Amino acid sequence: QAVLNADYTLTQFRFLQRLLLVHGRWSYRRIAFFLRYFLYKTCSFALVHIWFGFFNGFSAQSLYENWFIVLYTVFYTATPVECLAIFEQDVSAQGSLSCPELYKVGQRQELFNPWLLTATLLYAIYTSLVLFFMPLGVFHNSALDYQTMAVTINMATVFSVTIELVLLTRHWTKWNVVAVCVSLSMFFLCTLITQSRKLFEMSPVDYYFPGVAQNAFCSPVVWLTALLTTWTTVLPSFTVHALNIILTNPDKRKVHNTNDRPVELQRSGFRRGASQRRSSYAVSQGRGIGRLITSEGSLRSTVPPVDRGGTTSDTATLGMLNLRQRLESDG
Amino acid sequence: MGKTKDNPGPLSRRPDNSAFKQQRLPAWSPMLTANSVLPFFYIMAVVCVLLGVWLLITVQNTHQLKLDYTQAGSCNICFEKRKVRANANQDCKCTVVLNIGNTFKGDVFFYYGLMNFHQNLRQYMDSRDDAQMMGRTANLKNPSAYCKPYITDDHGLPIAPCGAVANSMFNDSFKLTYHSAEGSPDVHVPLFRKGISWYTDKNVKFRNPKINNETLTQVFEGTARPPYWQKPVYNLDPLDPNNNGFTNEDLIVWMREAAFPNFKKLYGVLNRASKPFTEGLPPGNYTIEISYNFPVEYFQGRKEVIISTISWFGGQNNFLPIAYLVTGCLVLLLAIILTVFWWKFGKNGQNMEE
Repeated sequence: QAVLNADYTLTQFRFLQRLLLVHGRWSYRRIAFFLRYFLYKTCSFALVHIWFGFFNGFSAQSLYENWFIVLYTVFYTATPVECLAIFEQDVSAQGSLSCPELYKVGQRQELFNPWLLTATLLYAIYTSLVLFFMPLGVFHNSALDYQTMAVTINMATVFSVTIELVLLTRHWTKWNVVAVCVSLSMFFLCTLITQSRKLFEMSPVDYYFPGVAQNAFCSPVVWLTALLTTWTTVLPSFTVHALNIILTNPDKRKVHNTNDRPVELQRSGFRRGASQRRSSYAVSQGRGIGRLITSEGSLRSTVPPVDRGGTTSDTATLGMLNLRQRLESDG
Repeated sequence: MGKTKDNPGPLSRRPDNSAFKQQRLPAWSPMLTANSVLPFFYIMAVVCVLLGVWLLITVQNTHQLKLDYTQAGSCNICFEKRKVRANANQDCKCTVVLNIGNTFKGDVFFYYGLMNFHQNLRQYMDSRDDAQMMGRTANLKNPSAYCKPYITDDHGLPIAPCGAVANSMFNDSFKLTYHSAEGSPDVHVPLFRKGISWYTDKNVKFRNPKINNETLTQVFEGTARPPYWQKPVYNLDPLDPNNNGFTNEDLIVWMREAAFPNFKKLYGVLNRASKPFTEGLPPGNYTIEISYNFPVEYFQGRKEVIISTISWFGGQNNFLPIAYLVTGCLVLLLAIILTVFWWKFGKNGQNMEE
């Protein structure tokens, strides 16, 4: 009866180790990334309408064709993030088991907390500002029309969110690659189809952008605008990632007693509370390897972590960095 | 993820030991270091700056001349006249003078520009009937309800083309004359007034209703012209019978709504077949005789005439080249800051201590 009512059922206690340390941890990470990315991509593509309102008398004129709005969430951006949510791993299964401290990331809410959500929202607002105002500069006072601008902003939006996802994904399986490629090609394909001549002749009310995609995808102005807009929107994300990579770049020198550590960890197994009391357990003496590894891994936060200086000055940092290398090379 | 074992018996409910289900798919994890990240920023900075410079040079090679003629010279009289609605039936012509210093080499494009005219208002953009303009006979006498209040006229006849977009069509016309320096006669500048709209617009989106041995006038019988128009749709271009009806190029160009309140639309292209326009527009004095019909005082708008040469990148719009340059410089700055960070903290910083 308990089995039928429970979310998870285990018959042996040893299963708990894998469930918690491997799958629980991965699951927390995946869900956190998934939710923050969803917030980002939806807000950035919707908020441009607020800025457009300033220029169209606040008449709620949509900046996109209806079909783009429909297909954006379904075809153009859904599959890559689903692949992220299914496959993403920062450390392999063996690594998760041998380093239980990593589980503290979830307990300390390091990947999903109000601050990170606010940061994601602010980043989405910044993205929408760039997505609107860059094409505005190009299309304002010009002979180019509203529908071409719609397609330009569509292109820039899809490119931006795809690149953001590419930065977010650390564990690339073939499905991830396929999903990204398919989504991008779906964008071009579906835009060409919904803006084609045949469909317009069938139903001019539903497909009211005939010929725009054919015109716009051949126009260098549209491409150059979309590319610059994309690059500007992802620039903060690139910068934060780069900063993280640079500041936590593992040193080439190995610590002399790294070899002992994996053996020691395996022997210790999983005992409640024991890891914190082990004085010879060098990993736990410093801030904890968890924050370091996941702060390199949690490059998704768009605000650099506050106590950067403290982390890099940890005495045990070097050993942890090497341990991370070893864990990654295992898996 | 509850793994239950049947006790005893085969492990029939175990998930497959496939790579997919056991999360062991082969994967690649990027191991990024400062050595790969920093050069990337520098390369992107260089690319942006080079693109910006190239685009700036391309744009600077185009010429543009803008003239706001809303109240310029004799057009002020017409401006005052158009303030009164009752004068709408009266013609008003005015002339403006402009001077071109250097030859406008190559193809020269003539635009009319409007300021503060919101073609992007939602109710305005909805107020059209694409099915009618596509030539569907069913919709010709039965315009869609979106065209309200321009669906039927006072006598109950359906309006063709219906809607506010068509009704507000820009109806100023321009005649450009070139005064060469010597006592030679003034030359009328010939313009191509066709081929100014998109191919798909002219051939797909806007078609006249089917003609079975009927003239265009007969096809449109039983419909009325929009209230603000002086001429009915089948007689928009008296000179060219093919340029009438819904496929009139000026109408098509107007119906392609602009994105922002300040815009310009193509009026014509210079016909370089005969002298002295074979090279482009020669320098000298020009007068434009304007048939001033479009009232702009109601919405505090301005009207202008723009003469411009074009490159592959379009007319004179400096925004994108400058944006590329600014972004390139910004990325360069970021790259330098990141290099400084790397030098001070990442390379041989505190993480050396043991």
